[in-house]
Amino acid sequence: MSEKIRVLVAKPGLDGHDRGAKIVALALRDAGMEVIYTGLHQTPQMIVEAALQEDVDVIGLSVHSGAHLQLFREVMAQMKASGLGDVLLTGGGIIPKSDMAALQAEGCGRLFGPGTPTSDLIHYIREEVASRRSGRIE
Amino acid sequence: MSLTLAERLLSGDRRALSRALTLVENRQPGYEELLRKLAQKVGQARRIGITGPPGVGKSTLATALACEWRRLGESVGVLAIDPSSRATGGALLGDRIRMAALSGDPKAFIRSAACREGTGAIADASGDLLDVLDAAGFSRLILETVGAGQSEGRVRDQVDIVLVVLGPGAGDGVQAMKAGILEIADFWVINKCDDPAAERVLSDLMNVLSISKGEDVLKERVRLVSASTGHGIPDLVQQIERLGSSSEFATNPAAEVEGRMVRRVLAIAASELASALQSEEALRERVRSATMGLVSAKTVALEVLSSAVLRLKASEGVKK
Repeated sequence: MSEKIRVLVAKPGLDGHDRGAKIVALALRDAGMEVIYTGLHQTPQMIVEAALQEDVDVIGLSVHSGAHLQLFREVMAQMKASGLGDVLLTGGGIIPKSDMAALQAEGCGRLFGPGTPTSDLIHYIREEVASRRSGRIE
Repeated sequence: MSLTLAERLLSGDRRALSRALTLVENRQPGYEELLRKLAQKVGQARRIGITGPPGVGKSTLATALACEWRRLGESVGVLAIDPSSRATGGALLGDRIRMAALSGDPKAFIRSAACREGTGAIADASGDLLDVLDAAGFSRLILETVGAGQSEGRVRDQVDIVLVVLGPGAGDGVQAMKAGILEIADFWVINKCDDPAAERVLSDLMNVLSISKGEDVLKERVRLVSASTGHGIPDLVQQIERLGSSSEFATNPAAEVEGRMVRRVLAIAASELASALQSEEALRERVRSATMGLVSAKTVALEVLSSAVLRLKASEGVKK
């Protein structure tokens, strides 16, 4: 039996636009994943703490506030500090492609702009998690 | 591998605890060995179950109780169970969103789990998950689960004290609740007591319970609270602690632990038997014969038992 994929979906910072995050959370659930939805106003520390306790395969951040560079970088730093280096960090929102490229170069996963079909995200997560699991050392 | 994980868990490594919970929940290779290594440390935590219909405020109540226990110096582990979708096998685990008050607290730990019942998972792992949190050293464990399906009876078996939570606006009211759910409670907690509709819930509940319970029991065990404002929470925790320490309760923790182990052993045996039956066409043919009255169900049951034993012996032979 292939283990369930566990995904944390969070909105860091002051951003209040949660419709996208909720749609993604439901789409991932309908794709058979277990989604821990932590909602609005999460600090990077809260997000990574939750990711650790829930032993998620994926952290998905939704950012529409413009503060994505800072927030993604904070989360990545916290992930490293907490030993969550093998967890996939992905997400979306209002993020310019150049910033997406910059973050990816720093170790973040693919990021998805508005209007991306949820099937793209689901496919990406499944592939990434499968390859990370096969390479995992306990 | 499991040896190192167990040692790290027992030394307070929270990442190890989290990984161990995953290993056990998914029944991954090594999980039985891990549970065996943790067994001696299991039994020191007091376990409280919170169940009730959706929307009644269980997560908010769990958080309020956890915060009060923290205030009293206890460490708290929370296992929050949400249902899985039978159609897709996925789940939206939304209890954690209400537990922000516990974030950043090194003596609190929250784990969300999907109830994988009916999605192909054989046995309910929540008892084992509680054992892992118990071994990790939390003094109070809260199991939060929806009161639907077969889960109520299991809650009763897995915890020391059961809180059945009721409240205004949670469906058809007390009368619609199955008698079984109300019966398992040590405490009946009416949440959202600041809402005037809570009065109705209280009187409905009293009507149902007064048939079988005395007035003094009801006075002690029916509690009005507001989890969001904190009203009635310190009182409720005090009552839970009193009950937990009282002589009327299990004075023999070893017996409790042994009882749980008996249930776990039987559950594993049951799943071995189910596997044997599922994988052998010959046995299923026998089942069909039983439906036609050609052979008794008991005879077929004993054949399934023999088959399961043979399969186990064969697989052990392969290992050696």
